[in-house]
Amino acid sequence: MATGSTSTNISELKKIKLTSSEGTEFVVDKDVGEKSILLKNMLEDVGENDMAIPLPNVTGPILTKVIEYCTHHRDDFFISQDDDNKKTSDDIDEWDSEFCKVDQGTLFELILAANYLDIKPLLDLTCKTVANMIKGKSPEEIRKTFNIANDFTPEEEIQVKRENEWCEER
Amino acid sequence: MYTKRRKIDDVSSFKSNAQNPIDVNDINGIKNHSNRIDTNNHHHDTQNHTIDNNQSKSESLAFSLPTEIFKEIFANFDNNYQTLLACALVNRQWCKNAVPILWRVPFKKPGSASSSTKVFEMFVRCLSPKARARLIAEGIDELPKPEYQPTFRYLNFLACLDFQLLWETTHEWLVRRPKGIVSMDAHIVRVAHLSREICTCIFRSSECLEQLVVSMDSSQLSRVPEANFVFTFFPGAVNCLPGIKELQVCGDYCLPILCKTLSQICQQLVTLRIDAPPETSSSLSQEETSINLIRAQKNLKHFQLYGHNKSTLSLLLTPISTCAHSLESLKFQNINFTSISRKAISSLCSCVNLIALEITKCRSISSLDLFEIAQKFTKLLYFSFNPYPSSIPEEFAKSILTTSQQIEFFSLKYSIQINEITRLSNLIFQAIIAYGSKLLFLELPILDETQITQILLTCPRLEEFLFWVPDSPTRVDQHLRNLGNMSPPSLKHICINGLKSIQFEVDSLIAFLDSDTRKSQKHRLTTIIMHDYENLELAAIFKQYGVNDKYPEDRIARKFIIIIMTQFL
Repeated sequence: MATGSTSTNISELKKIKLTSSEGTEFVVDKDVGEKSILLKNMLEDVGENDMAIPLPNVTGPILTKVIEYCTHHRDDFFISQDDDNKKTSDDIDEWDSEFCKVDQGTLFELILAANYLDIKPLLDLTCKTVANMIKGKSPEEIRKTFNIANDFTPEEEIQVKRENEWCEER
Repeated sequence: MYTKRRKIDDVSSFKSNAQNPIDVNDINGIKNHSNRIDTNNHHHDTQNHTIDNNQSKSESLAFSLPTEIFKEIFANFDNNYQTLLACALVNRQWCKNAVPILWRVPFKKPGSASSSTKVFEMFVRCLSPKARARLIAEGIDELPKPEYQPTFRYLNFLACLDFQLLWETTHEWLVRRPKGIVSMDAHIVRVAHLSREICTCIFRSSECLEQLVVSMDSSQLSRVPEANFVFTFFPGAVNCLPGIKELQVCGDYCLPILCKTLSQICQQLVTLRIDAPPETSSSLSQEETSINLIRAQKNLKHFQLYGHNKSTLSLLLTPISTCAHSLESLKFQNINFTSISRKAISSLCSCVNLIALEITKCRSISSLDLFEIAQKFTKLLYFSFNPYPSSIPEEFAKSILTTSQQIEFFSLKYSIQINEITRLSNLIFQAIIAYGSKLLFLELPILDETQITQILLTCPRLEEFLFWVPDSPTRVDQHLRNLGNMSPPSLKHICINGLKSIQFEVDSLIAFLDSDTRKSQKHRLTTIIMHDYENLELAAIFKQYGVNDKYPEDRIARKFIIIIMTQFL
């Protein structure tokens, strides 16, 4: 459970401390923290320790969201999917879909945090959400959606289009 | 690949790069290095791009995500070429990340050659000046002008090399050149030279070749010179081929020379499929080379044998004991087991870590000691059995269920002749009731109403249920009511087959769908397929309830097939 820096509840569950990039301390249940393979490996390496684990790449608000996700899914068995397991972008569960209703900046920060912390289901979910925002759109619509500048020269754009025109016959 | 965890430095470095623009005045930086966009490393990305100072945070992130994140996002567009192409045209960064995925499997099966020849044209443009010179010396002098260089070395991204497709596409491309076909013999020589050069180029510079398919039909094979299969003579092959994970070989002609070559260099295969034309005779030496290929494997997970009808079957099956502990799936299709030896059966029995077994259209199944085999497979999760033209060895199917007790995918398939479909035997039915509590997928022959009800009550995790209903013409009103009242919340896909077209009152269907929608959104029926039933009124009802009448892509059967029964691509 995510708590502020002041509320280190005493419970039977083991707790771990995390420090976000701004230096805010978070106390979470060990099983929630261990949804992150990075933290799990770190805890295994370090052993029982009261030291806070610094996460210089994750801001407080993003860490709060990550902890919210891991807490909701704390009892889920995270199946490790092989890379050859093809993905589909449908089938997002209701809670997960609500969880991803955040501004784009937050969504991308969440992706980076999930990647850094090695939380595969969160990475899959956030990437799937971005994929759903892309699916079926034209290049111009994608640029608009994500506020991306087109840095191709007109010649380059034509060339890439020509070289890949076979895709349109699929 | 996700498993490569990013280091702290990497994340902060690309963030700071995004915030502090790196001004590269060379807008053609895209062609800075060897005239191509670099695809290997996102560190290069920042050097090649001008990033606006005033961009918002979200823009900077969407603009400069690391390559591995792009891969994760684009992996959702499997076979969605249109979306991937749109991504490739967003900007340079997106282009660099989308193009390698687009070009993993660019060749299409024969029949619509136009897109394949366009792909091939790009490959020809990727040939080195030396390769061009060699081809010109062989009389292939109609190559595209060398002045124009493709944006990427598209050849490098190929993940699957299918020799038949390469041969046919080379042929198509040459036919469309101004010279066309002068004489057939000369044309074949030209095809052989050009396809060999393309192959060499792929072997030399491939970054991600994982699958080789050398499964050519015999009419094509007889024309291909043997030299085209001696891969060890191809420059670059020794470096590239050890990375091959999936190999499919076929054909009496190329098999010996190919297997001999490959057994020396491909020793890390994950999947091996051997196809043998069923009606031809074979010599012992051909089998021996295949045996060496199997024996050379250190970590084979999936072994598939197709169309083997020869007395030498045992020779081929015995060596699988060398990789018995790594083997996770076995598939036999169109095999005649008549001559199988005791030794070969022992080899099969040694595959104790097997999680998937598929037997399709095999003859003389009783020659296998099925009962003994079934008792060894304690870890089996997936069992698919299409007994045609044999009958079901009931004891076998039963002991598969009783031994594993954790089967998730169980299929007794009857694909062809309807009048041969029989009722599910009581023996197998009782085994399903007793040991089927983990089932996610169930496909069965004819069931009566009581059996359906009992199965629904004993399989609480069932997601997909396919079955046949008796009688003709068949009324399924009661079935629908039962499904509505008793199906577990997990049930997502139902397929009801009838011997002839199915009949029912629309009210029964509506009652069923109404009872279903009372469940939570999370557990909702998504597919109902009724054999041979077409009705416009029905389509409207399905639409209203958000139900499909064909399978969605993510059905459980597909997941199983992907996870367990191979195919990377």
